[in-house]
Amino acid sequence: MSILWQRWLHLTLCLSLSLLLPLQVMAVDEKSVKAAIVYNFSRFVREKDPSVATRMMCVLGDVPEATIFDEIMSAETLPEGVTYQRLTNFADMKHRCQIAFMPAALQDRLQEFLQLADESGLLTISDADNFIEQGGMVGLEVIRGKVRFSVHVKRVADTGMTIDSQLLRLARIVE
Amino acid sequence: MYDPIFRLWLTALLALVCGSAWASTDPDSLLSASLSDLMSIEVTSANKRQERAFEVASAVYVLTADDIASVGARNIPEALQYVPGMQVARIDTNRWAISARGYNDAYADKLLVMIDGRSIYTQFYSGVYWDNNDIPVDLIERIEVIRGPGAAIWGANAVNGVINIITRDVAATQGLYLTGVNGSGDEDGFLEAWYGGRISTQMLGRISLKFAQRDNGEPLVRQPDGQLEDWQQLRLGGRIDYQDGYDEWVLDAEVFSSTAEDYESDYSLAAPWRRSFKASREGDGYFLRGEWRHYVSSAVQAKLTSYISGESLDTDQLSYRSTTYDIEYQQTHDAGQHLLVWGLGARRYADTIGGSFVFNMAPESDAIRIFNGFFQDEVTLWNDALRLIIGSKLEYHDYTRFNLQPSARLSYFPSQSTTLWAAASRSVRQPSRADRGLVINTVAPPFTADYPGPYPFLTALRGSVDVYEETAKTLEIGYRWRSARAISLDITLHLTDYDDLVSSSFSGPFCAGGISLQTNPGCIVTSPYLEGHLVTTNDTSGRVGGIEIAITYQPDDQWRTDAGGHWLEVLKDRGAGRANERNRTDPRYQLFLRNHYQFSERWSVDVNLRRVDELPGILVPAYTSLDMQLRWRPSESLELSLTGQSLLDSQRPEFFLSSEVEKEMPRTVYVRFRFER
Repeated sequence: MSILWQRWLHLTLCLSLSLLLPLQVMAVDEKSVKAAIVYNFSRFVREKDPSVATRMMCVLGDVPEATIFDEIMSAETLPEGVTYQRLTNFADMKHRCQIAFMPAALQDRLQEFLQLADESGLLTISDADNFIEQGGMVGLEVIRGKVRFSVHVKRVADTGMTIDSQLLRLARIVE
Repeated sequence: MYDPIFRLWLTALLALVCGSAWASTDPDSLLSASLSDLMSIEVTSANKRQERAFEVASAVYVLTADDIASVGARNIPEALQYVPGMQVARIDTNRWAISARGYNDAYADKLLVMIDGRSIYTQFYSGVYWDNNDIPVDLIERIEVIRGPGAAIWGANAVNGVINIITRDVAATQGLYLTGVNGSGDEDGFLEAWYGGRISTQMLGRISLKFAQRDNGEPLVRQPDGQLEDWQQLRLGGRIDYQDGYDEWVLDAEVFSSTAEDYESDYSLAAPWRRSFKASREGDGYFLRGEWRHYVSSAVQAKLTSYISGESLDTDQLSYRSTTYDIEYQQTHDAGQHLLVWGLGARRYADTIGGSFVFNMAPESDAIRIFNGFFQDEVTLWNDALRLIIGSKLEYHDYTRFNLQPSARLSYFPSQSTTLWAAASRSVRQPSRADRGLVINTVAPPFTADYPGPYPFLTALRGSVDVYEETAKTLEIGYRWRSARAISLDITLHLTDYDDLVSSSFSGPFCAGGISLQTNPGCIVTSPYLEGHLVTTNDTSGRVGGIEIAITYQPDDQWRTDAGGHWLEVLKDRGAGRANERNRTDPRYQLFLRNHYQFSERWSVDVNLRRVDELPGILVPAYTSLDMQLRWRPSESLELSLTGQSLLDSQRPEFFLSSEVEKEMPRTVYVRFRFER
């Protein structure tokens, strides 16, 4: 390769650097990524009934996987039409929340969560093991180091909520 | 020749300009990331991979991208130098002799090497053309080295070890990345660059390139034709990752071209009998690989991989062209106490090898088909304290028909901090095209110490279609321990019995044309030369044993030490004479010590030492190698480093091929920048 060509290559690469500004993706801890995904859910889930203007997003528990939501669901970052509350008493979910997230750290209370959610007709999200098989609606799991989610479409429809097609396209659909 | 001062200046200028425009990463940016971006992020679940490596019933050593950067590796062989049990010796600027647990040679044939599941091992001589596989090192996520047989899953030719080089996902290489090296010694320089971006909601892509240039090693004896031209290589690659719910697709491709010069020897049946000359050595190749991963559920996963690859090498005496088609399917079932893995595969390798008087192949073209199926069950017993893995691969190879390669492995966990393991396996090395059909002709002149008679002597090394597979039976036991915080220890003892090893047996002398002197003694009167035949057969066997140790000490985030080494002993060797100390071409022992110290957020230093035993069979003395590296991160996106390799010797030999001009490797100092955005 000629000297001139090599010098040209150096200079061209140097000049072109400033033109490129994509997002740099890096390895991050699991609970932050899951929290960010659940945050996105609250943006893409709507009530079918247009007269219902707001939806309450509830997160259950005192564990770090729940308290992280206090940081990200602040007044400045809440999506439009979404209000947020973190609950330690599961029974408080009833008639208050439209969407509820239970972290996997509270796996031993899964049945209690699902029963209360069923009685309230709210949309349930969790990263607990076999969440959908046990009766949940949106399950998160880590596959090969990346977070994936499954959606039981019929159960979601029964709550009167709809999920944006953009989100459904990225999900594994469970019938 | 490129002005070195100008290049250093340009590198510094590039670094300064780049350094003035850096972007920092901010965890809060997760909220502004799109859902598809979030799903592309690799999450760090605490120590899952380290857990597996600690529990596995194999002699596994993993080099992470950090380890590779710490040793200042510019290519894959340099990274492998710090793996216990591996013999890595440099022959010249772009060729290496690499093996595990002995039997090392430029054409070492008992190691299976893969990049992202694609075999880079050639059926031509059962080895790897490392110069054709000089991929961008910073694209490597990790290198998994399994010493010992991995045949039950990986199949034939994984007799002494398996090396899995895994490149980074496109999601982990988004944005622009540039790295350049500029130096003295043998390192003229190289440039690696890639750019990754989002093509659609579910699709990410990356393009990459590597251009490298390196000086050739200094010949031990000055050659009449003068200096060799530099080795140059250009590689261009691309990859697309697509995910759709739980399905992932990967399409990966690369083309490369390289050119080098080397000294070759030509023989003739008239004076001057042998001459050394400068010859060009040109290589090129490509691959296209597709992969589909399907997650049926968290308990059942499937993977389908297919690739086509081609490589060629042209020297003055040999032209080699090959194409490989491969397709493989694998499924994993997690059934509680049992983890089942099974798979099927098919491969077709075809080549055309043109030669000369010195090297030629019969037949010139051939095709080999390989079909395989494997099965493995990992059973958890006794409250998770015991894990038994039994498995086998059944392989059909056009040359040798059916072969079964079973293995049994047991792991025992007496506590959270200790693993004891043991394994027994049978593995096979299939005959290569060279074993079966390569002819190498060399001529010894008359009136010399070796052949005092008045006739030149032609020695013809000949492959044979009667060559069949080599077999090995291996026993291994291992012990791993880790303290609560800082120390981990890994010891492996191994013993392998080799049977039917390929070697050559001499018959002759004959008159020209192979006429027997015994039946026709009068032929000597008119014969212009005498000849002898080294016929390739499977009539040697051997037993090799050894111990491999690796220790890690990391008391805090700032300091880490890795030490290790191995001792290898040829216990028995019938036929090839390897047990004879004078013929030894594998180091009896090797030791290494790596130290990484992070002074501050921005500065770190690496000091790496290796000690390698002598190779009396090829007159290479023992040596100690010292490499040092100073790294500075003026910002999140820029790193500058200064590296010195082989600092204790101005030059030294590591390996000689008896048929070639012997070369020494020089001390090397280089500067490097890494920029990402």
